Amino acid sequence: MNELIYNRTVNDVNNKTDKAYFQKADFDRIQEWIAYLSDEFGLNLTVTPLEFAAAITDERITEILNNLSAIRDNHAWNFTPIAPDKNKWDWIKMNAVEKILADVNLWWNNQQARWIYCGTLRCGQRKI
Amino acid sequence: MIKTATIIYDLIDPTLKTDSKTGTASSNSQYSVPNNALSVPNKVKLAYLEKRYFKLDGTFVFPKGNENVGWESETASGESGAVNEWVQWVFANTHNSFGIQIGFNGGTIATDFTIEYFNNDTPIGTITVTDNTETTYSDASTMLDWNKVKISITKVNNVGQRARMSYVVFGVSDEYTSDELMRVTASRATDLTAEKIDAGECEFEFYNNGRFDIKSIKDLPSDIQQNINIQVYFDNKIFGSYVSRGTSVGDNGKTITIQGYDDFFTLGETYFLKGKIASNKSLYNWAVEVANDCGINLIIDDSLKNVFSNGYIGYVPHREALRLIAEAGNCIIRTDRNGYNYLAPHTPTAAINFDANKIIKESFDVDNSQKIDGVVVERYTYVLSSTAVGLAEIQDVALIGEEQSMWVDFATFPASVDSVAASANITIDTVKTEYYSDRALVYFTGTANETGWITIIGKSYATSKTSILSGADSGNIKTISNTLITNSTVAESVLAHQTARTQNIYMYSANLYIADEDLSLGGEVNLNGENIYMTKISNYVDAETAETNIVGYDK
Repeated sequence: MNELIYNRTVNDVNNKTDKAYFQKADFDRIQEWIAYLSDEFGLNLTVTPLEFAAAITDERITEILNNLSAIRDNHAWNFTPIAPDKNKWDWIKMNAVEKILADVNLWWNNQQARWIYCGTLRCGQRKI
Repeated sequence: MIKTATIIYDLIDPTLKTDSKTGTASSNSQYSVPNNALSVPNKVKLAYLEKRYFKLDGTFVFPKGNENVGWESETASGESGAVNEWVQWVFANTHNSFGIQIGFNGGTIATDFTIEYFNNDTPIGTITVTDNTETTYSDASTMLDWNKVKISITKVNNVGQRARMSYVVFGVSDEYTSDELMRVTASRATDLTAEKIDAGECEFEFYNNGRFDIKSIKDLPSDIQQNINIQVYFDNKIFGSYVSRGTSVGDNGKTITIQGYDDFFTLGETYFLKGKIASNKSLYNWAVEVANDCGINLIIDDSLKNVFSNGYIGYVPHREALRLIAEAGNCIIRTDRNGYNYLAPHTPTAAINFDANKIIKESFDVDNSQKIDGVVVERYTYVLSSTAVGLAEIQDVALIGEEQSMWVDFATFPASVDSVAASANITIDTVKTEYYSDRALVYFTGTANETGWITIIGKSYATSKTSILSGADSGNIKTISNTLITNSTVAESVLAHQTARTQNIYMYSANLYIADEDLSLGGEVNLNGENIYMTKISNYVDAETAETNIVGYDK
């Protein structure tokens, strides 16, 4: 999967860099990560694809944000952003979406690394 | 002292807005409606997954289904921004236009396109544009007698984006600055007693530096001579908004003079025909009815919802109809600097002081020739007769075999209609036919090539008046005779208001050195020690003179 992007700045918007736009590749990346984490957590979320040049409708962004909240709710976070609302969608909200996915994925990877391998505890390991 | 003047002159055929039009396009996005592109404001940019389109700046909207985007194509541009899209509008009537404006807001600009004007299918003219970079494209070509316009876009500025136009205006806003203007005079006016409606007016003369290819008034398209919006600025502040009513050309086309008036001026030329005696109808509802009938945008004060009348408005100009409402409701009628029209009580602003240093020498004048000694208010009473009579009988109505309509004036009025009868070869449409107190608008269908008759039966109202008086009963007496004043409480309220505003009231006028004051109609000023309310503000500027004149009455 493509790496999540959450380092957009106002300079990107002012200078019209590629990161200043919500494009098909960004949409696909976010949906791919939501689908992946949905599977990992067994959430069975609906992830609707869109064609190039299609409109991200109010219904579709609501689906994305609801999915994002469902994934974020797997853990009591004190550092990752809260899921943004859909009004006045800007680079800050776009960063928040991808940062949530990145943080959840990082947390999930760490959790998995702490799991007992083959049921045997080694020195310094603990059961979760 | 005024230093500069600027005129914004909207060279847009006003009949375009109301003409019926059909918009079609080579393709439409889900949200595209070609006719939506013919209105300017409130367009939105939608969150499309086009290439480098949905900018993360908070200005794009996730659509719910009824957003107004103007026109946009279904498919996106290919390599180098190439597209093959068109949109066209067909109007019911022919029009003339001076210039065109196209808005490409939203991040996509059409760089290469043509604008074709037709009279039916006969080409009138073509504008070909290449390498456009402007988000608002404008052109100053004059096109006459067209009823179809087709805009074909062959290239946009970005790859992978729809062709789109958020708005199209068939005309341009022409701007004249002090460099071109030879003289400008403009005024705004009101009457605190609603005895009359003073219209604000403007007149400006400018050098025609080839802007119009004309030698005489005949060369100027008739549709751009009248009913064009004019905005007058002094020192970059808007002073007034007007509608053009006359144009003259001088010096073989080198100078053009344009006169304009506020909206109330033209209301003196059209008539209110639909007055009907009603029981306890609020003046607010009367104002809405009159405003809708004459098509004026009028901001009506809510206080008029609590002032009622059992009378009616007879056959008078729309301007007089509004004046009657204002007078009965103790309101004034005014147009503000932005062209908004108000029917509301007088609410003065905080006083602005003009001492002797700000009054141009020997221009201060005080006049008491209109001083009122007493006020009389007549209260109308309408009592419906118990006897039905013939209100109107129309003979020899020529019938055409299709639906016809006819205004029928009553012989006695006001009256209330009981029934209508017609000859056997006429069928009256009782649903569409409307009866008013002075007349009826009758819809009917009759046998072609025959003649018939229509008779209207009803009861007339007996009209009587009682008077109440304030002040002296002789001398210069002002009599308020207003058919909407039927309630004794309303009559007393009007009497008190008119007495306060007219008895022993003097008129003042002065030419002023105005720096940056924001003068508003009805606003209070202290003029060399006299506190007055302004009823007229006039500015005049030419190459050698700059004047501001105010007229007002005692506070």
